[in-house]
Amino acid sequence: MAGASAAAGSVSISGAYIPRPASPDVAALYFTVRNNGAADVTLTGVRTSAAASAGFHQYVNVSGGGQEMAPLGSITVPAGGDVRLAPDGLHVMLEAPQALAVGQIVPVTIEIEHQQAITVDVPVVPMTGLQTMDDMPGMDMGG
Amino acid sequence: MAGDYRVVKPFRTVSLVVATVILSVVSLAGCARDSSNAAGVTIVGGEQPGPWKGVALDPPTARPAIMLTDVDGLPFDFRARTAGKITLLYFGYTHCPDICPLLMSYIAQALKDLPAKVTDKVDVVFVTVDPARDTGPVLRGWLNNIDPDFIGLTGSIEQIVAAEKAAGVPTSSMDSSEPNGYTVLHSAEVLAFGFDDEAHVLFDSASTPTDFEHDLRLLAKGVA
Repeated sequence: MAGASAAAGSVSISGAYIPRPASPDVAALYFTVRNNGAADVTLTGVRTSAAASAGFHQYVNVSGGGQEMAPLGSITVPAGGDVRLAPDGLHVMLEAPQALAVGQIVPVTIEIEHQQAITVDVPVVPMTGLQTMDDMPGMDMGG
Repeated sequence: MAGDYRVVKPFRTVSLVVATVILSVVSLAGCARDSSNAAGVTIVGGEQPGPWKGVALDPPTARPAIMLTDVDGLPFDFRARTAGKITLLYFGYTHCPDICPLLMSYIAQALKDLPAKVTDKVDVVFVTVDPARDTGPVLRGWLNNIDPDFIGLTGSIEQIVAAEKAAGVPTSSMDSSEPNGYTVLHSAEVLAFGFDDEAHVLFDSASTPTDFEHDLRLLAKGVA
């Protein structure tokens, strides 16, 4: 299972997926974004008709120690670099999503500065997400 | 990027250097997170000396004596009701978009790949840290989307904080500026209690379904 890809100019999205949510109120979207250009690029938002709202989230330190999840207005992808959104790190939270079943394809638009955008047809995958060979039961690769 | 892990995942490469790491509590999922480790647990990194794929707990955490409420609103004495069984205990909330459904679904997948003689000995208990939004029916519905056999528990925020302390996981804090009067905090750690009523292993956001399956087999054999 690979996740969806799309590109626009120097920016490419790969490995995009939405795990089937357990809650009717929130879902998560993950992907890796690569910037092949010579200048940093900023992702400014996410939108999809499949959810009432979608926003980047991160974990930030709070005073007194510890971390909390907080909305993140934008994500900057350094020139020649990539940023990976993954469970327990940066992610997109989808709020009030439509019913999402495994196998559905959800068009998601990732907004980029200067009114650019990339639309990705994102698959809804099992709740366990994208797994590597190491993770498949009975296929312990000796790790 | 996402901060330091509370527990050190055993290194996969061979290493002759064994380092002792003092845990500082971190929890990467959910909302606010305490920075001090109530349990004072020390784990050993480098070559994993124990049999576990999960993270060894030394000293182990005792099965906590906590009183909570089940999804039907009835009292649930955790220690009495789960005594002598393998029990996976997780503190989370249903509006967590990423790590809570992921970890619980990993457990469900591991159980699907294990024989009945193992799974018959296992209870999975999810305690909400967001009792205002996670009412009994909300909790039951969320768990049913993952595994209908999972047990859901709630309570007052004070009872839940007491339960977190007893289990040695990071605790929520009361915060009157928050809409429900508390920060939603959880640790993204699954404690695994064995037949001896001690947790010698826990799982975290780096754990995989294979890790759960491997260690549940050991727990079912009475490995501690």
